[in-house]
Amino acid sequence: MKKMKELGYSKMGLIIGGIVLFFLPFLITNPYFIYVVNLILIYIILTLGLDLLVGYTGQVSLGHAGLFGIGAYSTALFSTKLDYSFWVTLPLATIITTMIGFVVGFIGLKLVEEYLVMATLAFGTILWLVFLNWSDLTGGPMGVSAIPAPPTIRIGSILEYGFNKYIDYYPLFVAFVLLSIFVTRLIIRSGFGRACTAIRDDELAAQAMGIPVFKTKVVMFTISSAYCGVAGALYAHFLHVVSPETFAFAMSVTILTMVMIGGQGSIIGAILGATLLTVTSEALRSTPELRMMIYGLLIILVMMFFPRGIMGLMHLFKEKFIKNKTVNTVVNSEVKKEGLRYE
Amino acid sequence: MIVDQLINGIVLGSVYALMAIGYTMVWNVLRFINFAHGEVYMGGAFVALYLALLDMPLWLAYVGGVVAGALLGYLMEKVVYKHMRTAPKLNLLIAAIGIAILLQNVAQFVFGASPERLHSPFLTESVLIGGVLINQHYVFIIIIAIIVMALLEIFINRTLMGKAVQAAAQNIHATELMGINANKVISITFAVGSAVGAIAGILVGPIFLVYPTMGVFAGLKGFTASVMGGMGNIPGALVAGLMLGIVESFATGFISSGYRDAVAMVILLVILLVRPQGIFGKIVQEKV
Amino acid sequence: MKRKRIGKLVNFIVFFSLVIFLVACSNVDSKTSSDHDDKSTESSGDSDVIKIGLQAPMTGDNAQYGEEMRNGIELAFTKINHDGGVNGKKLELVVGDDKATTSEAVAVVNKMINNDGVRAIMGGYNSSPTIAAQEVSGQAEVIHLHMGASPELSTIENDYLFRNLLTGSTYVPAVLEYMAKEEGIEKVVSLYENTDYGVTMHKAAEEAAGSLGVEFITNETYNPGDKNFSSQLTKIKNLDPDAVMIVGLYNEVALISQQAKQAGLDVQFFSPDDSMYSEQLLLLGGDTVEGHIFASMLNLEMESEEMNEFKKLAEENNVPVEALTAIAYDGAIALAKAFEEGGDSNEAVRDALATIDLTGVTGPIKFDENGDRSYPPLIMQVQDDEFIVIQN
Repeated sequence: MKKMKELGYSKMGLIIGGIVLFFLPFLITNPYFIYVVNLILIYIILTLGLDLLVGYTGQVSLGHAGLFGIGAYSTALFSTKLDYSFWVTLPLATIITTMIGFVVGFIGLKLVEEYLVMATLAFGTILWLVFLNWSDLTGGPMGVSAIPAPPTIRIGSILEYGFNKYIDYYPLFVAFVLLSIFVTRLIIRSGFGRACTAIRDDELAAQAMGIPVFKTKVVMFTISSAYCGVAGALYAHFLHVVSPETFAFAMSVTILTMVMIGGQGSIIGAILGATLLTVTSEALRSTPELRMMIYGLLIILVMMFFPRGIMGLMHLFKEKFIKNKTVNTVVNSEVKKEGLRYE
Repeated sequence: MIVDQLINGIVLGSVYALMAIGYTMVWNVLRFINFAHGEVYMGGAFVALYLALLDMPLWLAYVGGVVAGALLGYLMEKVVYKHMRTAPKLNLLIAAIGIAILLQNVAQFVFGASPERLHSPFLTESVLIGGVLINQHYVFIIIIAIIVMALLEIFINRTLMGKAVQAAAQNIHATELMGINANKVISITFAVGSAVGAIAGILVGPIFLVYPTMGVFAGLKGFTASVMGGMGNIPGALVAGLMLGIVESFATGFISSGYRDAVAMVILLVILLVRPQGIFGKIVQEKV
Repeated sequence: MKRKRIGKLVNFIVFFSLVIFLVACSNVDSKTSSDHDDKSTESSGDSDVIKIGLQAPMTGDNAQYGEEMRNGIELAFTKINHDGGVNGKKLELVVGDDKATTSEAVAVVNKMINNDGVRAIMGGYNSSPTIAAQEVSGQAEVIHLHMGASPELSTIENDYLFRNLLTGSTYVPAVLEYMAKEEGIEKVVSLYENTDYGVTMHKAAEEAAGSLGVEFITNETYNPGDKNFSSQLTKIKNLDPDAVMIVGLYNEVALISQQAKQAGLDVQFFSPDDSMYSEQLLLLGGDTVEGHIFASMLNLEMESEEMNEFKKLAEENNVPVEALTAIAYDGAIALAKAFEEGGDSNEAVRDALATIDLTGVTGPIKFDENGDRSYPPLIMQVQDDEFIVIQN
């Protein structure tokens, strides 16, 4: 009886969620909010991508802004210089980003822990400097402007769907977010995903078990950069302008903070982290002087008091109130203990 | 031209070396990168600037700036890092970035965004050394850097506290068992490292100005130098700082100024890959 | 297992919809209020405020310029509101921080237009954020009076886009002609900031140089935020040019001049425009900026009614008198005038702004068919710690 009821609630939640997601464009008519929602969707893709690396494989990257930039710049250049359509530039950008991600991963992942952080930071900074200084290709500090919107979708004379307003991008982005979530679930549930988790929990033990550690990490880094490529392509076509300062160190920090605030190793966490940070940052706009101060303070407080982010907090609640319930394996898997004093 | 670039490089390098010490010392005891160290550099310079504006004697303003820098580093540890000793290092890293964002914007809120010049009694004069005209303030930077290094050497190797810091670098857990107050050691480490960072900020204040975001790139360079020298290796940080300054200066002079910062990053990558223990570091077996 | 999966999915959707719902709720609030605003302004015109947005960097490396712009606009608004407002309505400034990045600029302009209901945007200090943001304001048919440098901004098809500055193609030939004729320079080195502004000015200078018999023997750049130019200057010194053109803002010009002196580079320095026209230049540069020549769209020492009024206002409100402040002040005055003539329709206001003809603090306020201001600039020089006009 109780179980039935629970399932009922679940289905109800599912239906309500679906309805909200579907009717959202009708609920929100203010273009600014649609813009913010779309931005959140792009961030969700980025956060999911980085979480695969940080949360599931235990490898930290502070260079993902550079990869995001590669995605955005390659789609921008293909569509402005060669007039390729969005449907061509999107896969192209993803492939290029994936290739560069592979190179970065292949070199960087020879290192571990802090050294990997430093290496990815260096890669990110180099990529940013290339965007800024390779003026002939990237337009230098001016970036690339007049990136066309995705072409109008026509199915006979029944359906004509153009990308003119922010709202028109919403279904496209939702589709990509759902796709990313689906792919992420597929990966983490596969044998490969479990190998990654093993590496995260104990690299030496994983190696002893015969998992090809380096290879697995590189593959995961490459997959992770594919997410950046997709997000970059969507971003470029959505904003119609790309310029180097967007892809500086601060963006890498933002994405990583989203992963951390949501809670590593959790899809819901990634979604919550991206949403919460974006909404907070937008809500604070009315006080420009205090905005970044509050933002910085928020990051410190979350890291101090909720070290495992929102999902860690949720886990705590679940344990307290629903003691007999088994907890989800992936969401609540223990974050590797790396206490400073006891290494 | 070569001599000029060399002098530029040495001056820059001294500053990088001073910055690198802060990173290296903190790494030594806590094994994490204090990304907010650049903000100590900025904070020290700002306090010195405002004390100087209050008609305080210049030397006193400088000293005030250094003390403020040390205090800032100390507080950073006391308020935030201390409560995160058992947290994953990634959390510490993000918290440090949070502190950096907070302090930069507090500085802008309090002092304003407009760059200002810290006074220096030497700025307008030049001296002739070996047929080359060098600005006196440059000479001042190099002299102060040498003095600071010497004092640091004495502190680390000749004082009891310095020895405790060294012991903590070996194994902080064991240090505690030996009856050394680990918290005190960590606080001292932060304070000393930050004081040195603040000195760097005050030294460049007269030539590169004082403004809220001044710590960002200086921090990155200092950090690069500390990696080059081998994380945790103080003499290594010194030499690496100087090397980085000189290489950068020549790279701008002979290659392209736009990619100057990329040069530092490429060096960082190569060092990490070829000698992750740094140019002067010893290989440490990974603990299982 | 299956149930667990569904549970997880539900978790996600519930959370997601919760957040979305929050967004939606806040949206309903603001929507009703902005609807209300719209209706009242359109139907009866008795709403008592006109909101104007400022899109400028308020934090980060460029924050001081945003601050100066805000000062100027606030001065103008204080004056206008004190004199009874625009057709009885008070002007209100909404400040938006674009952090000098495109993504932030788009977000903040979106927010100001759709959420705060501003009827015009001032600013955009940097070009690429402005290019990105004007698309939003253009679609919403909101006037965008920016201060970017890029020539691309003149070619964009947006009737609502105006530039409150002279363009590089006006500034640069003027100063180069002066340098060639009066100072007799032939070999020039340009040292410019690697930003849209620096690149734009440098390109305009190279184009103008040919016909004046001036040659750019080499170019050196620096990245935004750089404070150390000694390597570039040492390189320039070895080329022995007649003059060095610095494209940069006052911090950089002051630092470059000072470091040039230290490097023993003793040539004539000049800048194509008035971005370094600030007391800060004298403060930071001291003796080393003495003799610096630049083209300027305004003279803060000019004896005119408008200038005196502006200075008096600035003094009363404890605001430093800076060129950028004066330019922003002029822009705000022009906007207010356009609103007075155009009334409640954005289109009418736009038309009024397009045909406006005022004498402002900076000079004549008129916009050409590209929406740019254009009149011959003054040539000024730093002499004895003051900015002196050396050619009208």
